[in-house]
Amino acid sequence: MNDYVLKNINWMSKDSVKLVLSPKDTSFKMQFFPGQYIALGFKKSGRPSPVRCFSIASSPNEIDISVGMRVTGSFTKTISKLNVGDKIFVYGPFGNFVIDEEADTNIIMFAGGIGITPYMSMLNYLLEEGLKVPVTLIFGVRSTENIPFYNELSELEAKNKSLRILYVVADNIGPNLNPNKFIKGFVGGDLIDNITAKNYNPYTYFICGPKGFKDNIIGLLEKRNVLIRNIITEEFTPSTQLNTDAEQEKLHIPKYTYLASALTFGLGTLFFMAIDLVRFVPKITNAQTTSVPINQSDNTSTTPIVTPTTDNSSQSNGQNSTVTTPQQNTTTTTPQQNNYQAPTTHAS
Amino acid sequence: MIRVQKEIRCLGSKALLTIVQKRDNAKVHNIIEEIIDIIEKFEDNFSRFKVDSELTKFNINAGEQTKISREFKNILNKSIKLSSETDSAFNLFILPSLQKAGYDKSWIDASISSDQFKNSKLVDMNQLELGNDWAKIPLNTAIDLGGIGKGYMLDKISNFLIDNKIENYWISLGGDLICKGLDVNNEPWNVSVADALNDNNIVDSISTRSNKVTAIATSSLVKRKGFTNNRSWNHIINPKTLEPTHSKILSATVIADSGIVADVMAKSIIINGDKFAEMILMKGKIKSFILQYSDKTIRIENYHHDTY
Repeated sequence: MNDYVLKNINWMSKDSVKLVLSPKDTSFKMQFFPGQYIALGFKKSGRPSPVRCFSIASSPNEIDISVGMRVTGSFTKTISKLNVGDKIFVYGPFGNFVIDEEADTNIIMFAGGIGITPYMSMLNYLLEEGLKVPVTLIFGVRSTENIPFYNELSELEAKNKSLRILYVVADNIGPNLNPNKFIKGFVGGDLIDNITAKNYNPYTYFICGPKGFKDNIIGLLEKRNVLIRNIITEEFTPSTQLNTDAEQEKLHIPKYTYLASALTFGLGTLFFMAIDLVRFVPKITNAQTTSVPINQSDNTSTTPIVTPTTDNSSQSNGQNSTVTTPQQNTTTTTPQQNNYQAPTTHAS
Repeated sequence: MIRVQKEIRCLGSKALLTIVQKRDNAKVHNIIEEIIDIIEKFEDNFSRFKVDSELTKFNINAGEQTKISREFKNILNKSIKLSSETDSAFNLFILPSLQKAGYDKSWIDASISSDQFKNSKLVDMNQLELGNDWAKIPLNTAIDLGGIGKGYMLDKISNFLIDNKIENYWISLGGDLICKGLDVNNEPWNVSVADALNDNNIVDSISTRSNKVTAIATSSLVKRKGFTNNRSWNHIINPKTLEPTHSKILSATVIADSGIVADVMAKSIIINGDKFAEMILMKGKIKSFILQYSDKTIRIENYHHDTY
């Protein structure tokens, strides 16, 4: 975790804001890749807030970090009302939504709403480093009056000849806007066909936006047999009343206290009943050994999990009694059953 | 579902190619043959023990701009990036130090030894110059792909299988492994991690995810070590000290999205230590790591944020 202070709050539209954060230790510069995100937290009335993740909009070459967010939930409403100079805790960086400078030689970026944020970091970085990767940015927005980072994007496009930006606008397009640049409707297959000239696989496709937006574009690309490894996505989840702490704040602590007490009492009763049952019911069989994978992948975990997996000193004769591998328990109907070697990693 | 598995010798060690399909058809066997071709071509091009390989010619031309293939450029590009991400623990120029330390066997064929570039210098990776279709290394230096070759090949084979619509597979090259999809029981692959001190023992197992490519590599100081000229050596040289690495970590296993990252990061953790492992995990470079010490094995993972 690193301490930052809020340097600037810049409202980009009526519901989207850019926060600029400066490291408290002025000699510190966070190392990150363009496209990664950080988790932010702060203190309110002396109590720590929950942390929320936001994509970084600034280039890794800058000391200050900026993030873009749509202000819809309790967290974003509160953080956007903090005062300049207030302390912000920054965790990270995290994420794999980054450009591979060697492999991604022709890029199409799809952004939905505030999902534009990680691309701001990427586009700034490409310009600063003089990287001439051809990039087409397709930016889906609700209306032309409500485009986050519009001025910065126009500036980037003017400076970077390899960058082309198209705005796909759901509502009416404002007057005097170039019809070749502002397209009414939603991102569709025709647009992808036109940009790629139906030669889809030399491109790397980055998608960042709400789930529906992301799923729609993945579907369009899959219909065109785009290789899965050429599709890189980041799902942007707008804050809602359900997934912010807004709901939690409405609940009162005493209510939880009574609930916890009742649950503890109930579980305790069940525990003693189970013990009595075990004591009085005769054993039927010996306990069967059950094999459980040591650690199931947990896609929802937000912090690293440390798992002491085995204590080598307690192994007898080198046998490990806690792990069953497919080598030991797989039954198959294949002709290779007897000779099959199960996947094992080892040093060579 | 049926499983087709083939064992071959390549890249100086055992390789296992395993594909699970609904039917056993000629396509699967053809694909396996094509994979063997891909590996052999790689060996021909990038063995420093073959006089006419692209790598040997490149090393002989040290000090001059040498025209290189697109694949070689790709490998060099990835190597430069990985060197910076590993705080210079990964360095292609490590070859002479390896030879001086006593490790002069080919990583592709252990029966061959060479000290052709023994007196070359170790330089920083930023001394490697890359142009559009050429590369240049300083005079009296030489590079070797031993630290990156297996991982690179795993990625190449995995991409080849995905391009050929093979959904379920695992490939192992000398203990490093890449997999995707399901086994014959429709379960995601469960990969065992062998004990650094005894391959027959298992210290951990990894449940993979079926819809993603998972690469797993293990590096250890216990294997490939020896005693030459009254000095003990192992095959992991620290480019900063130019000496074989000494570490309390017996083995480091890395789980990542790509073979090349898993391969390089596993070695780099041995050199840089557990704090480095935590740092690259937090930066999202790897998914998880497992460290085996003499008295315990620990696993740290971070599946916080996944891309597609």
